[in-house]
Amino acid sequence: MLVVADDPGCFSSQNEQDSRRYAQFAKIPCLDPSTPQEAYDFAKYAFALSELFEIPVMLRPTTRVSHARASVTLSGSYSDQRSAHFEKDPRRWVMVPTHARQRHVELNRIQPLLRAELVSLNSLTLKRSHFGVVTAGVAAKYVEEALKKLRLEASVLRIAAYPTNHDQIATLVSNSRQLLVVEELEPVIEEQVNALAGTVEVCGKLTGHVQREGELTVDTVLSSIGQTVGRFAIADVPAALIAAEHTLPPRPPVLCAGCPHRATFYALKKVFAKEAIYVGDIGCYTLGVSQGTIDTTLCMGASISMGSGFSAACDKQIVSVIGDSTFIHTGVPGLINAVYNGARLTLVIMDNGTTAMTGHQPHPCTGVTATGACTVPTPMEDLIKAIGVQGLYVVDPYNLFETEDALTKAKNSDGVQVVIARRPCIISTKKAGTLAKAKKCVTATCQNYFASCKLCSTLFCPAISYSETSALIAEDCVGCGVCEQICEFDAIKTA
Amino acid sequence: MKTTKFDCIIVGVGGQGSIFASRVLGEAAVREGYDVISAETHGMAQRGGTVEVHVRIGSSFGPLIPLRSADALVGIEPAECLRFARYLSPKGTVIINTAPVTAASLDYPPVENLVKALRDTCERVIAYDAAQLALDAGHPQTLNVVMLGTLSRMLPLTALEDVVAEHVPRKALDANIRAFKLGQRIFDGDLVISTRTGLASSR
Ligand code: SF4
Ligand code: SF4
Repeated sequence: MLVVADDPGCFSSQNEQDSRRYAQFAKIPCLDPSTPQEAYDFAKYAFALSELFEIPVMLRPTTRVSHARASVTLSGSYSDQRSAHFEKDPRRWVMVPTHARQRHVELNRIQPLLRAELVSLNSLTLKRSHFGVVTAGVAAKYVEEALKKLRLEASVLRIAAYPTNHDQIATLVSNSRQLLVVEELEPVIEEQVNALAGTVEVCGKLTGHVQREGELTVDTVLSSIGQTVGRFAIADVPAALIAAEHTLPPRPPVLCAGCPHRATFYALKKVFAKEAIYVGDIGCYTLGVSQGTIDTTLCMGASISMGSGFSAACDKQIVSVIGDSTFIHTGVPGLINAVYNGARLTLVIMDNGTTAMTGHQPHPCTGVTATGACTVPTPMEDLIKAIGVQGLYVVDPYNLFETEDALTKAKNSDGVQVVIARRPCIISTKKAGTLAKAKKCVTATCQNYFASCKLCSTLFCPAISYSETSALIAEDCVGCGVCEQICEFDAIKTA
Repeated sequence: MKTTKFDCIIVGVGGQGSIFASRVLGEAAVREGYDVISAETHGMAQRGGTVEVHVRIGSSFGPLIPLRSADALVGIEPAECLRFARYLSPKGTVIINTAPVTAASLDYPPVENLVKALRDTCERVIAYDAAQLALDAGHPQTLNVVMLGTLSRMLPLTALEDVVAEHVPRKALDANIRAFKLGQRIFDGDLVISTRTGLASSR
């Protein structure tokens, strides 16, 4: 079973991809749950289906199924006591052309069998109405609620598995004059309905009745149904409320007070200034964009491979910024390529000893497995040296002087230079109970110099705010001491 | 038309315990035999951004509450509360903490304006300094539990206090129970908070 969670609305993703397309492409079955209960039921079923057809099965929840909690009825635990056993069968397992051609025939042979097997997961409710809806995933729940709110009769085909069953679509088509297809992301079902619809009108994403991008909600579905059948139930939000909302400041996510990344970014900006190209990666440090030290973010590992490309194509200073877990996940091949092909760049590995953004999972350099067991840690420095980089520095980002010094050396040297800025994530430090309680405060001297100063504001620490006359340090200060190093008037002191 | 038994939105900023509050609420509802579904939305980082949780009790639908449908809106942070007020039903209740979480970079409007905007557009607004009550209860982190206490008076649930007690750390149990009860007294109207000192006193 392959689980892929798609993210309409890009709540935490770089794109709004629809993995049903990949299932289609690979010709594997794909299950599309609309609730946490179904995700549970389908996961069990996926294993059985996979055994039956000897094929991987994709389970594809979207945001409102994967980031949801619900009451779920359990149906006994699933456990398989068989020990794995491999039967040698080169025609099945060695994909040289003669075997691959045969496997392709087999893959096509099972497609109609899959359609027939999966039909029972879908549900078709025919009503005496000319209006029919085809829907899938969590959108099916929105449709149910919207129809109830509108007190509207409609036939509904809810697709829960792919490849879709053509007979069910054909039945609905013959029962309807007008169809609306409501699905998240790509018009995967809509394209198939179109192919079978004949003269029946099909409304959906391709006709503009359903929004093409972003997340669907009950409200967007209400408006899609309204546009299709002319029956509306649009929530009316008071104008005064909308006006009041506009007075609210946006609250963008920020790096924590005392986050070691912030200190590294500060040093980076000082040493490499605005002119360098900062090639970023995926992690909390993407937020460095607000400090002007992240210029690109695309996918995991791209900081180094894109950095190599930049270095080949232009003569700017290149700074690649990546976290420790992303480096070990997908950064290493890029680094080999950069060194081997003679790139000129400074790679900053922001090593906070964890995978912070997704909830502090361990990674190979931590020496702990996903189950919490101890294992052999991957030695980061040895690995980097073995790749043959031209320079390697390890610094503590809380020590600005040391960090700036290493970055300056890297900047002035040729080839691939690596600076590891190592300091545990502040949340890990708090959880481990090892946070030294050395809170900072601002002494009276700040008031004398403040008007012309505000130097520490360039650090963007959320614990620092300003009154008319002085900087103020709030309760959430963790005492990292970085602002103290920046202040030129010794105004910030340990409380 | 109403499609569920009770729809509630809890909003705040990261670290205030919005998600904890929603989980406790969900579990109490499950214990009393309701179908529950909830969904949370928060930004990329671990701390400091907006956190929005929808909780639907007695619902067979998706987790997202439609606009103008929520029975209650619990704003653990005042600006965030107003940001999501469009989800509240015209008959719904707002429970808002008046102590803001702000930062140098935020152009934060006066809290009175936020509360006024809510009073002007929502049928019922219960506004009080819940952060102060949390301190009175013995720990600033009981803020979310104070507000759960106030909410509990509107819910078709009786197990909420027990579920809170089961889920908070042992050493913080007493403070949390005090916080929950203070929140209830706010709803009952037998606790007045001086707008001048922010301190609560019994009526
Ligand atoms: S969670 Fe850790 S890495 Fe992320 S912003 Fe906070 S301190 Fe930095
Ligand atoms: S010491 Fe300064 S920079 Fe560090 S957390 Fe406190 S206020 Fe922020």
